[in-house]
Amino acid sequence: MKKLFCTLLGAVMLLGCLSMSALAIEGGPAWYPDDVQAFVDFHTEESTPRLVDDADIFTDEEEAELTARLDALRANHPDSDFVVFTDTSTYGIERDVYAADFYVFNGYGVGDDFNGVILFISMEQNNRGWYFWGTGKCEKLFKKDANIDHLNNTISPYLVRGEYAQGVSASLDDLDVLFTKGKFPKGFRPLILIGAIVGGLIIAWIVTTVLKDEMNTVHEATQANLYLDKGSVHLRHSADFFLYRTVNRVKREKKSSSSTRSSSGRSGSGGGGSF
Amino acid sequence: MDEKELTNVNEYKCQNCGAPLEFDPESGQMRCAACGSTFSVSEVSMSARGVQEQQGFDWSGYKNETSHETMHTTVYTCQSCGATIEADGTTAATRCPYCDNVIVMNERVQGGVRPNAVIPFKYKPKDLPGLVKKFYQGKKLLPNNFFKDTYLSEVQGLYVPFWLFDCGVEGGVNLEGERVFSYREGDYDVTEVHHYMLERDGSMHFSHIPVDASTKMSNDLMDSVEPFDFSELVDFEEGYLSGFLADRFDSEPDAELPRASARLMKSAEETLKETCMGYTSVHIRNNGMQITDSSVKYVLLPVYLLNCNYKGEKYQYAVNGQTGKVVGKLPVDKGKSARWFWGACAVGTAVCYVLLNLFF
Repeated sequence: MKKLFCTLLGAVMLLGCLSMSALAIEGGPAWYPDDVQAFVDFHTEESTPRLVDDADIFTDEEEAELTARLDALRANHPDSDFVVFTDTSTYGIERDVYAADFYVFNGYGVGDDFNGVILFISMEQNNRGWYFWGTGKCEKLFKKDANIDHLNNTISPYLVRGEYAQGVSASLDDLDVLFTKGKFPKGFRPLILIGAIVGGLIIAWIVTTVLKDEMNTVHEATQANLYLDKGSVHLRHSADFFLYRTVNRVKREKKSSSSTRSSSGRSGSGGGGSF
Repeated sequence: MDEKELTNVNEYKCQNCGAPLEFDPESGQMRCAACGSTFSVSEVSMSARGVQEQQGFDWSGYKNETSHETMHTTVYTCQSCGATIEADGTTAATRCPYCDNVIVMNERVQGGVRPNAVIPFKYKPKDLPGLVKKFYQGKKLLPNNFFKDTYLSEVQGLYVPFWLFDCGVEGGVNLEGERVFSYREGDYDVTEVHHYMLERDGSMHFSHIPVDASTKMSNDLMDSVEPFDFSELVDFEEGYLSGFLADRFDSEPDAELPRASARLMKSAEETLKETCMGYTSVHIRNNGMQITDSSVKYVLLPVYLLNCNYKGEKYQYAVNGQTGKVVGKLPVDKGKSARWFWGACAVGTAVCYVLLNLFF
């Protein structure tokens, strides 16, 4: 009896381990495939919700408004998909991969390249943050640090204050501008103007100095290169001695945008932050 | 003033008509302005002084003459018109201000103070306006009315005395060299600098470093008319001076050697520095080179001096009488300078604004 019990227990444990290895994450969300390796890309229905608020951070009215905004965005830019997803856990996966996985495993995306972008907000304790991820043709837009910085700078203050719906709404406005114009207008930056004026003054000083130098061709001679007899130079001794080396290391500024692949291997780019 | 009548002077006369002869830069011969006859310089010089032994340069004896002559102004009576002319102790050739007769003071160019060689004038006074105009052209800050409002107060074709130094340089220099490498290591940008001590020892030779031997001439003006083509140096003949002014040296080689030394040392350092290959930067730490085998020649080189007046200010220009190179300081129009400054500032600001917006 005891032997039978141990055998049965061992079999159950073995089955459990096998099924766990087939799953990419333990106890994961329902949309996560049992076997990631066997996953085949697909296009979801048009009617599939583009706003999935698993973290329940939006009110019903906010959800309805944001859904309408997403629909309008998709209508304005029919070659791209736009998704907003919130969750209370990332099940141990990095936010960028989790965002990519949700997009890919739920079949979002337009066209053969599954063009589109997802905004993921994690409400997990000790892992609160957001991530923008773009794939297909959108990957190029999200590779630029300037674009990611702009999106992050827009949403961050809202999320810090707990104004989640307003933050998402402002981000959707940003995405509309980005997809319409291809970049964010830089607007007036005083520092750039000051830098340009300083540059202009330096250039003007150089130009007038050169022109004034032309007006005075009287200079004391400081060298006699013209009078060196060619062929008279004899090098009798030449020696080079290594003394010491100095090493200076400077930490590189972290790029705002980074490349991220989903668990199934789909490539994309994006960036995010924590709040 | 010490009144002393010079007796050993030459006023070259045409053998055909007796009119004054002058050196013609175009033909390289002595030419009579009255009848057009031409004679070789050596022919005229030899007949003027008789047979005279050519003396090489001997600077051991001239010191006494220098200290005596330069302190005194001397007086000469023009043999053509009888006018009384004063000349300082260094003048070797001049013109009578009354009858324009050319006068060469042989005493100043013979014996221990006879020049070794001379480069004759190649450009004539009539070439000067064209040369000077070419010099003015294209100068953006020149006042518009400069040509109209400038008048030449004086034009002199002058043989300027120079010392030509031939020197060897040998010895060693110590240098510091650096090789800089930049690369990425993980999240870091790394700059690695390798420091070296370099030794170079060698020798080289410099020929014909010119230093003007007249304290009356501005050093930087004479430096600026360089270079001269010394392959056209000819043995000195008094005839070459005819028609031009000439000065004798009043500064000895010893006094001028430091100027030549400084120039050749700088060039010697640069030459040895160029042998240090493969370094990002090289600096001289100390120089142990020394001058060897120095010799000096006394030559006369052709220079035109133009003195101008523009709006009450005096401007002096020098023209290399062999190459035609013009040097001098031109006046700067303040209005034009301001317009160029602000115009360049506006364009520069616009360009910088576009570039900064593009990259940031």
